[in-house]
Amino acid sequence: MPVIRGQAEVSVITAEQRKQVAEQLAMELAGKSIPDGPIIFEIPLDSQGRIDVLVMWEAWKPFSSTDRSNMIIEAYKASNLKIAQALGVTYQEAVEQQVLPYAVLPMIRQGEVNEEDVKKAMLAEGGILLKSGKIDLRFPTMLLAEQAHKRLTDALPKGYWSIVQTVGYIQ
Amino acid sequence: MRPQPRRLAALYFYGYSAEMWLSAAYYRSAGFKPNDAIDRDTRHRRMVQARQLRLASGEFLMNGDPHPLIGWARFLEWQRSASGELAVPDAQRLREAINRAIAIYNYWRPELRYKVVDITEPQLNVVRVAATWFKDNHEKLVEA
Repeated sequence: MPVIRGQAEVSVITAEQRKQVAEQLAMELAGKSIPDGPIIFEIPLDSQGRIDVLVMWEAWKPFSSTDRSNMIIEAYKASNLKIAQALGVTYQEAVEQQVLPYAVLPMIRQGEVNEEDVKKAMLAEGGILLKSGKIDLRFPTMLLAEQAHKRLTDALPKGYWSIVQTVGYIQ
Repeated sequence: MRPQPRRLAALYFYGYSAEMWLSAAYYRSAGFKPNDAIDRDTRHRRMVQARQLRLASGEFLMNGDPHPLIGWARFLEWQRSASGELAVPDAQRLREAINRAIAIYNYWRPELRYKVVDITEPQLNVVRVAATWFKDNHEKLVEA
């Protein structure tokens, strides 16, 4: 019978890689967006003015959950914001784990609005460009989705936008 | 409910009580005030984090079960440890909370409580003793 030996897959993160990701995160927070940069959600939480920070970014992939959280907290250190939770996820994790259950979808008839304008507007709101060419625009709370929905309706008044909630299993 | 034929119902409520005490202890330790509303999305993000974090063994803190009692106990321990080094009695109490959660979950996990039609008095007693421990200790599980 054959001997099947598995090989451990260990991703080694260099100090340079860590520094680069931290710097990119800080730049995004400072309003200097980079291509394929993080999408940052600041979610108001409670009566004490605390927020949850959720950062969706493909660059998180090799990093552990603890590393991701620490880097987010470090990036926010200079701000006055009180962070209750710092959570980093990749797009795939966000979809699989349903941390962005509220999707804003364009319900636009052909020729009604320029398709490129729709895509641009969705990307500006934090949409993710999928391999299919479609944009997936998702939010962690209904409130954030409604606010984006309003901005999109204002920017493209001829279009019609919808909010769809992904419902998880019943517990 | 403990006398026959309500032992299963008693088990159900003992387990739920423990889940509430444990998750409440976690939220209080994470800085939530007693009257802060915790909506489904907020709770879900905490559970996602607990399902990303790993123990030294490589196992995730919380599994994907809908009522991860042991996961809440481990997440509470993680949260308390994240705020600084724990005093020995606190560390022991949190470890004990995990052990008690394991004892309850043996009989309370969803695939048992929805499929098993009856449990014995000694089995229920294990769950009762563990749930009573949470009732007596839940305030001490929260960070002072």
